Amino acid sequence: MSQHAKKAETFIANEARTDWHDASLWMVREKRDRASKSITEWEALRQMGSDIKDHVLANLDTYLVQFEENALQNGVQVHWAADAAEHNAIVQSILDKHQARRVVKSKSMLTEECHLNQHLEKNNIEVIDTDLGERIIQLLDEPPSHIVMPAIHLKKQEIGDLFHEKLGTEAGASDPQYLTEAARQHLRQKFQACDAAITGVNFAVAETGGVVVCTNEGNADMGVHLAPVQIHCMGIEKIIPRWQDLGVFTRLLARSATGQPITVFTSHYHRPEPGKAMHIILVDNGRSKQLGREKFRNSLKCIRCGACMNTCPIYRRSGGHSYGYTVPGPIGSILTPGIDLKKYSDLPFASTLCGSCSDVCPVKINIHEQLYWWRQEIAKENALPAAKRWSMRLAGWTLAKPSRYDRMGKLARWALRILPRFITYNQMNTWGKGRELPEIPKQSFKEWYTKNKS
Amino acid sequence: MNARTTILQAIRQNKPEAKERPSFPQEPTGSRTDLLSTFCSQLLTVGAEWVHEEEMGDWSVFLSNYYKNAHRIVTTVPAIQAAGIDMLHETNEAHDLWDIDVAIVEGTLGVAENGAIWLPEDPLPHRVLPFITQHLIIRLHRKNLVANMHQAYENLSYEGLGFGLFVAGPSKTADIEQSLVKGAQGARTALVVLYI
Amino acid sequence: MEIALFIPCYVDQFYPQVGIATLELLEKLGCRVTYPAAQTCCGQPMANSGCEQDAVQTYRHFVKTFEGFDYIVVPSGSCAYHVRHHYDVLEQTEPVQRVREKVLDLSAFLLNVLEISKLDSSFPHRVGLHQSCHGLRGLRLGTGSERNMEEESKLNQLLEMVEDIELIELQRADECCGFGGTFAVAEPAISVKMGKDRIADHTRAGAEVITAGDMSCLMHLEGILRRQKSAVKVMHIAEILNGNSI
Repeated sequence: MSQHAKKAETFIANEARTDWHDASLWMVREKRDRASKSITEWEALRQMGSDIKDHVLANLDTYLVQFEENALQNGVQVHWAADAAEHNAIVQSILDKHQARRVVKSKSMLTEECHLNQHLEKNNIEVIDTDLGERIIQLLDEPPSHIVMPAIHLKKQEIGDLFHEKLGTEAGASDPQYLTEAARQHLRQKFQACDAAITGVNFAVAETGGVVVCTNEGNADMGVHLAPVQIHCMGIEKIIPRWQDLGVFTRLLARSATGQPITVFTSHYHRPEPGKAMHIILVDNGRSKQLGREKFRNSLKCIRCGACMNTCPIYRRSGGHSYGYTVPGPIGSILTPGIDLKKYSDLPFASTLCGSCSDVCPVKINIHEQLYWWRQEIAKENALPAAKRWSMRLAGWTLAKPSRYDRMGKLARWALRILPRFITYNQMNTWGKGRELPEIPKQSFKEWYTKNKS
Repeated sequence: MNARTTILQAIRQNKPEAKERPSFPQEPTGSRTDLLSTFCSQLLTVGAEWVHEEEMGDWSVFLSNYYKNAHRIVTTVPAIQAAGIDMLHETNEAHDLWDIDVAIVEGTLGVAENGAIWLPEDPLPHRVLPFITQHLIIRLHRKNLVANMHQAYENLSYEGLGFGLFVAGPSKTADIEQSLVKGAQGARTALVVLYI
Repeated sequence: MEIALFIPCYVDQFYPQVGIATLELLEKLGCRVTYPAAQTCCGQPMANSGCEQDAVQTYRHFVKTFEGFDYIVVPSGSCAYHVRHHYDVLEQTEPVQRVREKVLDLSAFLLNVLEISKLDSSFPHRVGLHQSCHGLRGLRLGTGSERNMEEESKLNQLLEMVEDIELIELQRADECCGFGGTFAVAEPAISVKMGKDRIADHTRAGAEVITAGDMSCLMHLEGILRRQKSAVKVMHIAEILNGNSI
């Protein structure tokens, strides 16, 4: 069984918890449906989001240079990082220069991707994730299981126990209001003492040289405005051309992500406050390579709303950790093979190709088609399990000729009819674990037709 | 070769053919609806409250009724200078701000479709003010409403902008079992005072 | 009008009654239907497993078998979707393009080509409609709950022509059943869980019969129903439209 299938099986072993996980995420999907349906031109808006992103990808170099120019003019320091290691080194050097030892960080999937926390902690820098969900999983020493709701896999009792141990809340207390208040007090202390703030970036506007960060908690701003140094880390695909384009994406993002009409805070950082420093790090880490893959490049259009996770019937029943990558779910499954095809070769198969992901995507990424195409690439690279490879070869051989097909069909039906149950339902028959095989008819349709119609 | 050159070269090699930049929709949702009532109902959706200034009576009475336990109330709006409200002037010292219970600021633009209000940096004595305060009051002129985010960005200029913010309701989280809790890291409540 | 009937491989082998119902229904509606006996499969099982290259011979055989017809009707949205969307690996010769364009799911053929507006059949039962994904989102036989458009569904439209039928309302109108071809055997735990959840939705609403445009989804759901020893039956939509009884 594949890695994903194994982890999913473990997850599902607790069926009540699986149902709870599924229902939580389905509720978010329903909120998204209601929010998107409140906008009559929703489908046109998605098209526009998609078209703007296509346009960006076709002019990414130009827009990055324009963005850099404008940011520099705004008094922002711009850095370029080819990969995760360079990115982490740049962050480190900025912190060193400012002698910053206590860093507050708001949600950033890019820094997760680069394993920035681990790097900084190794160098004796304290990094505090300030988004509540992120803080919870940081205290648990777990990766996020969702890109928008990082702790969606946890029950409030578990968070209560964690906070009791780490933050000294009352034993057994699990009221979300109470726990959130405790985190607020804890994090406000951290904000008060911070030397630097790091954030991710939702949108970077070429025309203005500014970056836009969307949060509900206000944690990015608490850090950014209190720290003497602000660092914004972004993948190079986060660029959008114009100030006006923000109108399109701010309408799409929160409605798709959580069903809110907009995030509580949409912060536009253009210039550092006098006496303070602002840095932006532009990170490639495989993105320019993905840009060269014609069939897969538009995965770079993703605005990280997480809607494809919430709608994915597999994600909802296997949890984010079953995917083994920072960005789980459908979008993760089309990003990962480009990073390491062999390592993540099971992910494009962790899907029924139902297509719901593509239809909720606010920038119309054809996720399910790319899953199908990645499967072809994985077979070409000989990264399929041998049994699958050979059974497909045999199937292809059989189905190419009617005489073979008719004979094999007859043989299979005969075998399934006469063989005892313990043989047909053996260990290898994964179909039979939870399902009966079809009742086998004596006659195929073809045989019936030949006898009765021709 | 430095990273900048490497990245730009790789992009130039790999990028797809040019695609047209799309134009904007002619008449997006809400263009013709009653902006004020949509705006007010969206404020409730995002967890904010609202009141008409002419109906709220005297500011200082209102504040003492509704923010009973507030010790420190500050304003950045010259129009609101009532007993017990400090006018907050420019400060670089954030530690002066930690004990603020209520901050009254002026918004310049409201968006009907989502209840978001634009707060520019200039009138703020410190960028962190709308976040650090326990309770946020935003004063907004009833005429300064637009239908949606397209119109909002059209109406706003980025020229000379250092920092600017759309705020839609109080700070929130649903990170614990999807239960909505107001007052995550930022303001616990948000009240919009509409005036004419 | 030369109409060819394509019966998917697993329907041919395991569900001949669905093929028969499709044929009878088309003939009742006045179609002259040919069933080319040389047919095998559309090639989807290999391709969905990534082994498109192993499917090419099957694709070629499919095109050769069906190239002479005006329409190729198949009681499966999934197979029609596969031929229409995934035969790109073949050289796009005139016959290939023609076959891709002319292969139609049964419901699309009935409504778009025959333009039927009534049926002579009755089915006095509570029926839950499972919207098979490839038909719904692949062929756009319906709107899909994700999209903000006027709601329509070809399968609903057809079922509403059946007398005495009672269509039940689901909590999740179009969630995947978890079959997914080889997914069903590669990820059995999730596949079965998804199927169980779909069935629960149907049974909560009191369905006696679950129907769909794709027998593959129903084969999977039937497998679970029988394991659960449930009284709920599955029937392909062609059987209901043809007036078959449970």
